[in-house]
Amino acid sequence: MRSHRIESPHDRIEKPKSYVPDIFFCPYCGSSIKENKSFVLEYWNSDQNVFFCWCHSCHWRGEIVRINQIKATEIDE
Amino acid sequence: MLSAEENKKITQVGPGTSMGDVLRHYWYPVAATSELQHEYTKKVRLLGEDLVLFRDLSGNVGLVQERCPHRGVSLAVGFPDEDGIRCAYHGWCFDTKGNCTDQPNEPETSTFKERLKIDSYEVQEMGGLYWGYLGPKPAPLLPRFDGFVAKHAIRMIGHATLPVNWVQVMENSVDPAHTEWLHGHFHNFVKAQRGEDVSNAFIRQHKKIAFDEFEYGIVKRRLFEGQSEDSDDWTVGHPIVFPYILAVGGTGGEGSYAFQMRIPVDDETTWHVWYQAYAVAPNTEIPDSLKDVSLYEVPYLDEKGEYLVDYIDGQDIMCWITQGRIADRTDEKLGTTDRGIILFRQMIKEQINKVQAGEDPIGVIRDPAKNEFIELPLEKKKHHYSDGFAAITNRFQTRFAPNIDDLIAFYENQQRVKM
Repeated sequence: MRSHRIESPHDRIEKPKSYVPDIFFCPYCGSSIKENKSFVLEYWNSDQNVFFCWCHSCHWRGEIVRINQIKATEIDE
Repeated sequence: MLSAEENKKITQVGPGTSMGDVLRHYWYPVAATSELQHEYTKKVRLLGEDLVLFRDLSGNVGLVQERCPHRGVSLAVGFPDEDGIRCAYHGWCFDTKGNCTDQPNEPETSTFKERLKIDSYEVQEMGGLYWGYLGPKPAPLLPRFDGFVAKHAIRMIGHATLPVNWVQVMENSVDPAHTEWLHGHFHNFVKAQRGEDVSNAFIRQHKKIAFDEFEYGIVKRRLFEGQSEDSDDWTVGHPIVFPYILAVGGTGGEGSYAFQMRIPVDDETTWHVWYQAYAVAPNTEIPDSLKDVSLYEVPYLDEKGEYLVDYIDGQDIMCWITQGRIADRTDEKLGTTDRGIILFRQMIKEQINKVQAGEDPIGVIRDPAKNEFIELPLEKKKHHYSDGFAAITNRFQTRFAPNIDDLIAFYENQQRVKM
């Protein structure tokens, strides 16, 4: 017998077939960070998607975060 | 999350792959010395290559390709000669340099054997292990990390072959937060299910975690709830020696060492070696039962095929295996406590670039002056070991060592020394 379950909101999230981060250039030197010698990894900090980046060209290492709401105080990490 | 291409790049170990080329700049254990004490050969698979380690009748030890070039029979079932290993099929003989020294049934005047050479690799012995090097020549020095060369030490070697890629095993070592849950709360749950009560230092909450790059890899540090910032756990920590070793520190505190080595067999298999060295005062007599380097297999499944999750290493193994043979990093959801994992992956990427530029990757040693005794940073008063030597030694895989009771009885009464 086939089982049925209630659809959750997660079911409607379409997962990309092949994940590729949407960061294109090093914010420090402007080199293409898509180039396979650099490194971009996406992780999550509370409600933020954070892109950890390392540029092979200038060796800049940092994180890129989209700011959706300007806050006066920062949440403790 | 990583792209599929990135995940492939950091996890592939074979010859000609980006990370495979990085991994070939390091030495790896290929056997315990005791494994060739009564046997002459051991089949070895390392970095996706099939090899055979052998000892000939003169005591020379070699590491060569597994297959005889004649008809492809395994030299692992060969037999020793005065100067090499003979193939069981037709008796062709190869020395430790890969030279063919005899082809019994070829004409006496034949020069065929002079035109034949098999792949051979350097081997060295250190600390009760044979180590092999598969990379570009000249080979770097075999690193003399403290625990492998500490004098007057009791040594034990546990091992298991695990059906997983080595990177997810290493990532476990740059993820301090898991210890609180897997070895703390989950461990207590398992014990409670059995009606057992246990004191468990691992359950204490992490307040801060930090990672520092150093000459040989990454040092991880942590501050637990209730600890002051001058505690060893926070000021010293312990290292991941890039690419494949965790130096976690022995359960005996100062003078004791423990390495967890994640040796890449191939893309989907890791030979995990747990190496313990307990150095004791030079004037202390080590009992006979502890004099030889003991070698034992670490089980991780019970007779029903269920994971053994009542000890620390078994809990880790369960996690590594259930992640899949190669963890799918295109679908993961990393959080803030995973920054050590991110740093480790970035370090991998950086080393790939270095090797592709013709440089040595991190931690490759070529200066003998730097290689006499490499003391790694290691906290001496470690909160995780505060339940006492016997309790914690029995909670790790060391519980499977055949002489563990002798070690506990002996070690608890000995003066610990710093080598």
